[in-house]
Amino acid sequence: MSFIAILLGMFTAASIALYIVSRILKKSNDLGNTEGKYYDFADSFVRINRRQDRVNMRQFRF
Amino acid sequence: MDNQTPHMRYNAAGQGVTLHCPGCAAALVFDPVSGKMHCESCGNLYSTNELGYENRFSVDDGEMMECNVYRCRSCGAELNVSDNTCSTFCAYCGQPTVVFDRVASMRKPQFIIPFSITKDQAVGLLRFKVNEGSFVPKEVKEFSIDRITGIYVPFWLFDMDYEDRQLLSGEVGSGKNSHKYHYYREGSTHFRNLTLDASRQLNDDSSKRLEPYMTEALLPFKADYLSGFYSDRYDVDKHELMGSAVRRAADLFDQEIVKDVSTGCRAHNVKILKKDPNTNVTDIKYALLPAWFLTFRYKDTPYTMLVNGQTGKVIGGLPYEKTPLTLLFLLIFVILAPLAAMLYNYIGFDDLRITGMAVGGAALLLGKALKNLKDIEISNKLSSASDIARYSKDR
Repeated sequence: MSFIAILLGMFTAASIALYIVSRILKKSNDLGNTEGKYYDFADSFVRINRRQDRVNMRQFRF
Repeated sequence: MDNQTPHMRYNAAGQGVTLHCPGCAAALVFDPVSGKMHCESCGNLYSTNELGYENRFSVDDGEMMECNVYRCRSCGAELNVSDNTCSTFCAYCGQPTVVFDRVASMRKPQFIIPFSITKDQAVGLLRFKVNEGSFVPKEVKEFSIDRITGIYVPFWLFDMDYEDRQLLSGEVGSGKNSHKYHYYREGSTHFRNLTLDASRQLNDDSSKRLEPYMTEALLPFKADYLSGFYSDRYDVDKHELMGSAVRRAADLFDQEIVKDVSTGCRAHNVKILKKDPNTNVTDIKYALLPAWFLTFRYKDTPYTMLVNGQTGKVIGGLPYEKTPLTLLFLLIFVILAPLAAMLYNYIGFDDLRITGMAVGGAALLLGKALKNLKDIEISNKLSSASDIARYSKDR
């Protein structure tokens, strides 16, 4: 097994382990860390009056 | 004092009032469950009409109310309440006293959401969350509350029309098939009761986490809701918050536009390149919203947790034990490291695409993990910060 494979394996394992531990810790100890969302302050969807996809950005000057 | 009833007692200056039970003369407090005044001694409930109280104090004397020093009618103590306090218990004998002089010379709130979560429910909700925690120290799980304070926190509620035209970029596809495109959106919406905390003492991060309040339950302000609770008055003017309100609306609006492009066009990494917002604030209301502040000690540090007094949402960072966390980290690491190394060895380094993707994925997870740890650290600092403990203690 090459040295680089061991090194990358350790890096990947450490990242996954730290991610799992931080997720569990956040869920368990960081209570109510959310703010109001769009629908908490608005009754309806955003009314999109004009929707253009794949546009040439140079035609929009503002 | 011509409209004083037998159930109301004023202070020496005729300014403060304690509501007393017509049955046993004990002090009355507002009961969140029934929405009436409750006698903690004989258990009777009274509406404000029955006490002849509402007529005297719900009269709108204009927009201003007054703040003052008052004397406790029960024990005779003279209380100097801070500028920011508009109702308080007597600090010496614990009698609930609503100081109506304050209500007469400071700006009267237009709306209020009364407490619907009781003190016991707030403690129960916190205890439930603490017991659910995997890495919460045993001493914290068996916490005893140092102090619990129900405070009406002042908020400005902004109504505004918001419209914007935006030029966005996004990527469609992945790898070699990934293409960058540009998108244009024009949209509008109306925000209602966008809440912004109007107290300088309370940290904005803490007050934002109290959200959302169900503002459909807003009631016209009546001073009787303050009885049995503490309340704070605003010290941040609505005009000072105008910029924050517009920024908040812009953030919420932008998130929706980005979501529209991401889901509608299956684009990722969507970014706003240009925008041209237009806002029109249509109304600003002053309201008091309820929150419980619960303080306990862990290793001589006070931790103050908040509970939304309407929805019961529990907010705060709990202390954690480092040893089990480290052990769990090492366990996962020891299991995964040889597996991952074998996998990298098996894939080999001839085709760097797959190896690169795996390493990139790991780096992404590491970034998310560090962000999670930073969030936890911030929450812990907020809960153990002296200013939040002082906020509830001073009231």
